Amino acid sequence: MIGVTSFGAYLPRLRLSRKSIAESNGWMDPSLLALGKGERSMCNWDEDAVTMAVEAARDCLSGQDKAAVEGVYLASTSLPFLDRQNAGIVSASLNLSENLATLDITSSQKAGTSGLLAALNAAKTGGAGNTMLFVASDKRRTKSACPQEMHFGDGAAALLLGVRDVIAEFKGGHSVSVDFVDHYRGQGKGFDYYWEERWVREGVLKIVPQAVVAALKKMGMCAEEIDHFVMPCVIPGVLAGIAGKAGIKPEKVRDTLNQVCGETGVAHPIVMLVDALQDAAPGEKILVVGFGQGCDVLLFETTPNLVKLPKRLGTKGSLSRRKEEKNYMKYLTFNGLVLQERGIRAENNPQTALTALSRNRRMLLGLVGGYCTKCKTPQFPKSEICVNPACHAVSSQKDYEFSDQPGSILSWSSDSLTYSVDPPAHYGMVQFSNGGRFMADFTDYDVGGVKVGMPVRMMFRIRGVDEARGMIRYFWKAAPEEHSGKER
Amino acid sequence: MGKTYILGVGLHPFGRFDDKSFGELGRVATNAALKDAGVPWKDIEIMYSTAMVQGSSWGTKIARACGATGIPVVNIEAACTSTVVAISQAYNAISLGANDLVLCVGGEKQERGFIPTLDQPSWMRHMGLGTYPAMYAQMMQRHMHEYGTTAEQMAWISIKSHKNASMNPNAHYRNMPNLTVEEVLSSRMIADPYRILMIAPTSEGAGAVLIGSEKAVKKYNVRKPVEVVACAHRSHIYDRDTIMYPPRLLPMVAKDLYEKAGMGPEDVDIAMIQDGMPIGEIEGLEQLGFCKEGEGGTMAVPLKGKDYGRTWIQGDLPVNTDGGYMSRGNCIGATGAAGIAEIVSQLRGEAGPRQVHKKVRTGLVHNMGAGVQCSVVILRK
Repeated sequence: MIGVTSFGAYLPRLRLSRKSIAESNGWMDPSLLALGKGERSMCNWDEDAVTMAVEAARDCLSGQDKAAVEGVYLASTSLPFLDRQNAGIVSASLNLSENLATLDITSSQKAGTSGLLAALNAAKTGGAGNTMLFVASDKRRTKSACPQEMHFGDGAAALLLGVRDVIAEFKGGHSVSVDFVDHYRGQGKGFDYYWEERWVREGVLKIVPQAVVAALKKMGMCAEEIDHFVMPCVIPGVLAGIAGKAGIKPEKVRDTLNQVCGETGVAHPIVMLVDALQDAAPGEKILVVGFGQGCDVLLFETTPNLVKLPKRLGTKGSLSRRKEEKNYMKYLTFNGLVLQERGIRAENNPQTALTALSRNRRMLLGLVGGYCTKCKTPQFPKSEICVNPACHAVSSQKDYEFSDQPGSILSWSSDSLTYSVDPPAHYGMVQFSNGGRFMADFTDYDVGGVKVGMPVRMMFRIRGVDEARGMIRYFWKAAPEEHSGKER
Repeated sequence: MGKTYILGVGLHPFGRFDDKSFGELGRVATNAALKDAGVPWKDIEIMYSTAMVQGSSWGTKIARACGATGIPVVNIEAACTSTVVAISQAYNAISLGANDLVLCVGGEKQERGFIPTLDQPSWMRHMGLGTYPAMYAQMMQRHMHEYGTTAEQMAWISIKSHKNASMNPNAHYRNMPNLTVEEVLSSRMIADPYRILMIAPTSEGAGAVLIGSEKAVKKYNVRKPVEVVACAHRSHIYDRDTIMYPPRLLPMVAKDLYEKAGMGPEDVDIAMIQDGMPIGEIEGLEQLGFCKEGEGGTMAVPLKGKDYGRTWIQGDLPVNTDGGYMSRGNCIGATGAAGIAEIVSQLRGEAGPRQVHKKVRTGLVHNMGAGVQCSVVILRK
């Protein structure tokens, strides 16, 4: 049996109120006023497809054996690097073994499902099968005041695939490739170009039902057996039309999470699949469709192992970790959609020494510190001489991962002086519960809400952007733990 | 070991002096100290010169301005505690008989804006710790959490400081003699909980301290010499970015100092404590043993029925009577000299409107250098 062995998801904590978009842009396009309901997920200024992928993967890998992972596939159409493997940044940040197959999968909205199929195929290879980590993540950038700005959201989801302790068996898949161009984004262009919705609707209603019918036939299945029909779509009525044409019961069509999250692009079929897995009981059939220049259809059936999976955030937990953002200007700023005066302090633009980045990759990306084998003191950074004044042992330290260590705020300040995209910058000393201290930037905090003693969780984020050289510098930050309610 | 004395002190006022060079600032302070002691420049045996941001061989610029006599010039850098380190070196040289007359002179020409934390690793400077407020703000937040220290208590430290500085012709900020708690707490927030009126200005200026042996005191017939009783200096055993507390540096230095001096905090009548921001004065008072741990914040708050607190000029333990770092200013390489000069003035009874009300015989000067070095000296008349 091959299939999903664990799942995870990550949606940014910020949810932009669609009303705020409508109120800002309705004057120029009154049709936007009708769309001003609900909210969409929105990256904080320090989040992108890579950071969200890392968080979704951490959620997925919680309670799992990281050492068993033999491959990481990352699907996205908003990868921050065109020529530096993004899946490699993700795997390094997860501190996975470097004996690993990594791959970026991109260029179509169906990359989420095509990538999942490719990862499932990779998981099949090898005598006993391989353990593959598949992550889909998208930060969806649109022009201001276009309808997609309303429809879209940012998010990521991850699946661990393998043959042991399968929670959802992969029953089979079917793909069609049609160069149906409902939208496209050319090389070097910052935004998608969209064709008319009326025409797109026709195309989707032609391509998808045929593919679903073909897939079910291939698997010897009847459409009525489907318990969960997972397909993202922002065009009203299309999903009901597909279900009708393919014979799927209308009540089995899953909510697209449009009102609470928006469509997270390549990630969305997987975000919805995780949501379905969080609702499903063992023995239920989940049909997943990803659309984009054709479509992929995948069928999963949950197993009794589903209920044994340890609790995790998943899509539902991510949705509950939420803060409403009503400031549309903040959204524009965070997404680089408005040219602003940042002040002279923003001009500090250090170059990243690629030598240092490479040599220190385990420390910088993996947050790996040291653990003194003589006195058992965890410390960051790892060094030749133990920091414990009662020890000072030489060459006594082994690797110690700090990223998943619980911690709390020993002290902090909010700094109104230093440049921050979202001032005032907050940072302070984190005391890890199992030992070790660390001066860290904070993220996802509420101004006025940070307190000494507050529990924090380390999160992988953007530290700074070197716009002149096109480099994004990632590092770990401390986020208040109070917002991370865990749900299955 | 012979005794060591301060023969004379001299300051160039602290402030902004765009039209003066480093050498000129140092010359003014040096001449004032020489005049105070009645010692001619040509008799100086060795110069210990202190600064933080003057590049290389800054002391020779002062020597050149005073008249190049070919004396050895030793440049000492220990950030804000540079002068006190220089004095402890001079103390060693004189008490061991190597020298009879040593000039410690330092100063600073520096850019406007908060003082850069040149000792921090680059990643911390990019975080915002490229200047000091956020670092000391974090120490303050912890103190507030542990002991309930309040913003109002911090405001009283600022009020006392600015009042004292208004009576000091050498101070940088002399125009805020009557601040109110409300004014301090509504000034611009810099790094929570610190507001602009709680943070030391970045000052230019210079300070000189002439130190000599008993022989020198007699030779020049020095009026009112002040004895250097003991000096102590240590550097941190942890990097500050790794471990903030504990162990703390100052209690270790205080222990060294009191042992060397054969005194305790109860023997100290007046103190100059590093108060670049309120946590400095608060923790300094506690860790030097002048009050209990956690009570430092209460010391400047007016006593019941009085318009002054314990650390005011009228109080039982006057602290930073010249305005301290916070209002007299932080001219890094001369900031310790300013503290020494103030204690000398107070012990001589020559501090004018700032003269403390109590009788004083023993004074203490404390400085932290970049947070990772600490020096304290005890003086006695």
